[in-house]
Order: sequence, then structure tokens, then C-alpha cells
Amino acid sequence: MTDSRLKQKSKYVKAKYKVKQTPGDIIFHSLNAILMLFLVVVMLYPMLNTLAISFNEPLDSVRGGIYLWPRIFSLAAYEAVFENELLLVAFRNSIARTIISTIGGLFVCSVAAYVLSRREFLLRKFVTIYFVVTMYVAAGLIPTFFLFQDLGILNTFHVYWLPGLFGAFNVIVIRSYMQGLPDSLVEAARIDGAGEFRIFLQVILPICKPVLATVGLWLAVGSWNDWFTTEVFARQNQLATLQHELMKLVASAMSEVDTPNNIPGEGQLGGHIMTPIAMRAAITMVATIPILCVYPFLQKYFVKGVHVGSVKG
Amino acid sequence: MSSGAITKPLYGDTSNILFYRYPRKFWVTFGGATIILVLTLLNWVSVVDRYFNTVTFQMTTTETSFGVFTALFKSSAVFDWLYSRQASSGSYDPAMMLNIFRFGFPLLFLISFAFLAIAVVKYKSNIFIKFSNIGFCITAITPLIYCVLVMFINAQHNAFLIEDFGAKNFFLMLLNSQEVGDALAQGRAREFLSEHVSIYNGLTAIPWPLIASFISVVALILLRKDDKKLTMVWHQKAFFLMIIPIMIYVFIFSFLPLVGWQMSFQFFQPGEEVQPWVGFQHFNNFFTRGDFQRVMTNTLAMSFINLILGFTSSIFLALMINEIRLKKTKRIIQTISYLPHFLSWVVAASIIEQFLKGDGILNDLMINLGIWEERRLILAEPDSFWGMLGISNVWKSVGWNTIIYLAAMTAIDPELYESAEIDGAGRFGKMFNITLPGIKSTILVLLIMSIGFALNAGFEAPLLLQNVMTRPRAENIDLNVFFQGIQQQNHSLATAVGMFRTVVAIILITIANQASKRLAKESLV
Repeated sequence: MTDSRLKQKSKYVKAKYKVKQTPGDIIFHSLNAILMLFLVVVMLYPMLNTLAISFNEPLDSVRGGIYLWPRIFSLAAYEAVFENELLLVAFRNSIARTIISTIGGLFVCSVAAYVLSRREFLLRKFVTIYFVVTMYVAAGLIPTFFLFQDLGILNTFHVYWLPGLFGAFNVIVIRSYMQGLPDSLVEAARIDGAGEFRIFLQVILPICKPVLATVGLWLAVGSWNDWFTTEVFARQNQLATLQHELMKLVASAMSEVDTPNNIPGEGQLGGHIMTPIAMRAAITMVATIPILCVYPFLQKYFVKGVHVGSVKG
Repeated sequence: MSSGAITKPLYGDTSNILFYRYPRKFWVTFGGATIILVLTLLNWVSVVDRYFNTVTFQMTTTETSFGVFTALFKSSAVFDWLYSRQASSGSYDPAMMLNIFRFGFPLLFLISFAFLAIAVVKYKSNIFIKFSNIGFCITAITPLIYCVLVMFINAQHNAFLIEDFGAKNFFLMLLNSQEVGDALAQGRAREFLSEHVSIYNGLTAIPWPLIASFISVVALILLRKDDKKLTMVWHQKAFFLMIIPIMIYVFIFSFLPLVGWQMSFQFFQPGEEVQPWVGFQHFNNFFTRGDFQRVMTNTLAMSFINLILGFTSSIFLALMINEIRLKKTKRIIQTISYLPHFLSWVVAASIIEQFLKGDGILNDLMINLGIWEERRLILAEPDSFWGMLGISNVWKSVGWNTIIYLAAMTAIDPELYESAEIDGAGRFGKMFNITLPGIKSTILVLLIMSIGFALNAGFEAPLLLQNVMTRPRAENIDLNVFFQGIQQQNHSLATAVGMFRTVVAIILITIANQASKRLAKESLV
């Protein structure tokens, strides 16, 4: 092959790959772009709309027609939220239960996962099955209710964190990650004279950060978003949670929906006339923003975590 | 096969005689194991016999049964059986029976278990291990069957015929036997029990035979391996220390509530000490009520719509996102599409309500585009509830569901695309002939598994999005349990419905799992 022919060929190849966009491609990509734009709008618009309403003057919001920007800017709704003592209690409870159940849950699940990830553990198979069964067999609402009653955790703060410490799926996800770690780590630590607890705490846990971040996010989101526990197991004002307060507002809005001329109840709060629609928007935002704050930072972890969870062996 | 055959034949060649092939100790232990086996078999007979003779058999176990090992192996069942035989023929001698069962059976058990332990440790004969395995299997299953039968008999006769799950015996075992013996002899066992009622109640709440089953199963697993493993248990004590508290925790919070299923055979009223048994009345009520058809239709329709919409939308979206070439745009779009997954259903419902209400954006849009002639209150229309719920589900979870497909797509060999391009395949050709077949097994597994969850039509979403007008279309099994159990305080019915759901779900999931094992060579369990 002479030099000139080689040159010619590479030129040809280059040319062939440069002209990639056929008319069909252009149409397809524009359509795809439109679709993605639609997707982004559908996913984001309702959130932005609620945000706009939360910053609008409460009484004005009732007229409707607010889309992406508040018509009359006002912080009245947020002031009302943070002046309401019940909501403050709810906010505090939500944060407390989220922190406690995330840390506790991570600890319990990772201990279980560590033991199950060690191949030499005698009852590994049995314990795995014992745990997996809990994913499929649930006693149901009423027996659980009476169990909590018998344990004496009904209508106490403990009901928020104690029952949810263990999650079979989380254990399996963490276990899969730990199984992927090289065995030599554990062996080296063992030769150096570390006991199992020390190996777990000082060798394994620090390198499991990605999976712990994933599971921690799940636990935190699950705990923060949970309203049902409050509804059924903790029916007391000092145990209120943010999601449950919001749920009550949503439920009242749902029952009002069947009257065409939707006239919301009005109340005087902190010098402003407060409307349920504004209140709901503000609480929605307060209940959502903490999650939106952590979510982008942990995103790279949880995609990996889901992947690990889906290909467990 | 045998580890220590007789070395010195005393009377000529004895190797043809089976008895001399094994050392004498072996036969002794073999005999011990046989006794266990016979006893457990007798236990079985008595359990079965109880089942057939329940009406004539109305004793209370308190006054009759007494055995140290009852709690573990329910030897009192044998006793109960003999008692019922004697009582029906009128030749009952309480003192004699008590002595037999106070000392006789426990002693036999003790001795035979000692033999068993020696045999397992000393003679690793296959025959023997197999034999003792069978014995353990039966001892493990017996209490389990006993518990189920007790529940079943009580349910069938709508009465509290058989009072406990072996707890009384355990209780009596813990107490001073002399004291108990006196109480029994004087025929005031009931009073005696009621004096210690608080401990007694606490003990009755625990299904001892179930625990015995559990212990026996663990023992079985340990014994099935060679005995080196028993010493390994000690070396692994750290693991056991870590895992046993968690196992107890799981037992309390996941398995103990299953005992509450007996509520579905009772007319349960909180606070009452004795709950009357009603048999299958609640199940009958649920199946024959007009509700059943409606609730099942709603459940199946919702999960069917969720299944179809969920799968098509997320596969479609994954294909489309996969076609985006700019890496950064791709990541931003993915991030935005996950967003609703992290909102709670409460927030989602609030947003959806805002979106769909009479003067919400959807109505504005539809009227301005001229598609609808007048404003519609979608949330108040029963007919559009299923569709609305399905689309809400898609909105909330479509982005999240694409993760798994996109992950599967990255695993496809890029060379396939290149060679397809050379062969002249277009964009859609590649999509249909490479990408989709590439994620076929993922789709199949997810599809089969979600069929396994056909009765789980969601709880939060329909509950939060329904109202009085749409409730007839919104009430699925989970909602039914909630309304019945929590709002109308109809605990037994709700438990029965929940139990029905769980049992059907487990059956479906098992079938689905087996199917996915066969079809896709992949399984979730």
C-alpha cells in the first residue's frame, strides 16, 4: 500500500464519519429533543408551580392562574408555617426521626450485611433465607398494630425508628457490595490481630461509603416521607410529622374537590389572611426542599446502588 | 461405612452378621434414636387423633399434662392422647398418669438425647446420620403441625377447645414441681395458675412449639454437616454475637406479628381477655359480600394499568434517553426525571391535585386548545380514576424505572452496533434488533416479578388521590384493610383480608420466581 493510497483511504474514512446527520437523523433528534423537553416540563412544572404559589400572596392565590412566577410576591405563607407551633413540632419530629432511623438503620443493616458477606459464616444461607422471607411475608396492618401496642411503643416516639431498623433489601444491597471487596483486606486485618468487630468498624465500613450513602439516602427519604406511621401508630399532637400535617391538608383539599366552586376556608393567621392553598404549597415546599438539597450530591451513588441491588446473585 | 468395626471375632467369622459390623455402643445409641423416633411418631399420632376426636376431647391441658420436655417436644400430646383414651373408657388414674409423664417420658428423652449426642460425635456413620436426621425432621415438624392444627381445630369448632400452644407446660416446668404437683393432686390447678396469672399470660403469648421447631431446624442444619462445624461455631462466636440480636429483632418485628393472624379466626375485640372463635366466618363474609368483587376488580385493574403503563413508558423513555448523544444533557435529563421519585406521595398528591383541579393548569390548557369544551373535575370523576392513578404513577416513577434499563443497555457490546451499521441497519433497526433484545432478559425478569405482585396495587397513591366520589373505584385490597381495620375498627375482618392477600401474593411470587428461573435463568430469590 503506497502512502498516497493510505492517505486517500483515511480521508475517505474521515469523510464518511463526518457526514453523520442524515435528514432522518435530524428529524429524529429534534423529535427526541421535543420529547425530552416535554419530559422536563412535566417533571419540573408542577414543582415550580407549587413554588410560585407558595411565594404568592395567600388570598390572591385563590383566584388561580399562577403558573411559574408569583403574581404578588409575599412570604406570608412561610411566615404562617413557621409561626404555627404544631408545624414547628412536626418539623422537629421529622428531622429527629430521619436522623435517628437513618443512623440506626445503617448500623443494623451493615452489621447484618457484614456477617452475611463472610463466606465462612456457618449459617450464612439459613440467615439469608430468614431475612429474605421478611420481604415477602408481611403480617399486615392490624397484627402489627397490636404488636406495637403489646410492646408499648404505640403513641411514643420509638414507633418512628424502632420497627424500621432492619430492611432485608438494604441488607442485600450492602452485602452484595461487601462481597465485591477483596478478601485479602479482611485476612490482612485478621493477621494483624484485629477481632471481627474491629475489622467491621475500621476496615470494612470506611470503604463501603458509596453503598452506605445509597442506602442511607433510601432510609432518610423513606423516613422523611413517611406519614402513615403517624396516621396509625402515633396519633398525638406532640408526635406530629410534617408529611402527616401536609396529608391532612391534602385530604381536606381532596374532599373539597367535588364542589365546582371550590371555596377554601379562610383563617386569620399572623396578620395575614391565610388560605389552605397557600398553606399547602408552603408546607409542600418545606417538606420537599430538604430532600432536594441532599439529592444531587448523592445521585452518583444511588444509581450505582440500584445497579448493585438489581444484579444480586 | 463404619468407623470402628469389631477387630477380634470371638466366635469365628461374624462379619456377615449385621449386628457385629458395628460396635455395641452404636446399637445402644441407635436404640436411643429409635426411641426418639417412636415418641415423635406417637406425638404425631396423637396430634392426628386430636384432630379426629376433638368433640369428645374437652380437657384442659393444665390438669393433665406435665412434662419437662413438653415445651420442646410436646410430649404432653402423647399424654393427652392416652388421657383421652382412658377418660373415654372411664378408667382414668391421675396419679399414675402423672408419674409416668412427670418422670418417664422426660427421662427417656434425656437418655436418648445423650445417646444421640454421643453417637453423632463419635460415630460418623452415614446410616446413623441419616437416621437421626429423619428423627430431627419429624421432631422439628411436629410442633409446627401441632400449632397449625390447634388453630385450625379451634377455628373449625368456633370454640376454644384446645387452650394453649404448650405454654402452660413450660410454665409448670419453671415452677417448683412439688408445689405444682400438690396443686394438681388437690385438683386446684386452675386456681394455682390464676395466682400466677401475669407470668402465665406472658408465657402463653409465646408460641413455644414454634420456637422448638426453630431450634430443631437449627440443630438439624448443624448436625447435617460434619461435627467439625460444631467446633467452628465457637470460632465464629463474633459472627453469632453480631447476627443473633438482629435475628431476634427480625423475629419480633417480622415473624411475631404473624401470630396475630389467629385474629382472623376470632371475633376480636381489643381489651377482652377471651376472644371467641368464629372459624372461617370472616373469610366467608369477605368472599360473599358484594364488596369482594368490587375490591378485586379495582385491585386487578389498577395493577394491570400500572403494569402496562409503567413498562411501556419506562422502556420507551430508556430507549429515547439512550439515543441522546450529549453526555451532559443525558445526565441532566436523567437527574430531572428521577426527581418525583424522591417526593413523598403526600407531596405528589398535593401537586397532582393542584395540577388537575377545576382551575388548574390542565383545564386551562385543554380549554385554550379547544380539546375540552368545559372544565372537568378529573379528581371527582370515578371513571377516570384508574387512568389518572396510572398516569400519576408513571409521572412519579418513570425516571427511576429507566435506571435499570439504561444500566442493562450500557452492558450491550458496542461492536454489535458497529457491525449492524456496516450491514446497513438504521436507527430503528438497531433499536429493535440490538437494544431491545439486549435488555430482553431484564424486561422479562421485571415483568414476571411484577406479575407476582399483582395484588399489590399500591396503598398510598390511591388512598391520597381518592375522595368520597371516587372511592368505589379506588378501594383496592390494601385500602379495604385500612378502612375496615383502622377506620371501622373491624379488626378481625381486616386481618382476614390482609392474610388472604399475603397468602395469594406469596403463591404468585413463588410461581413468578420459578417461571423467571426457568425462562430467563435469573431469579430474585
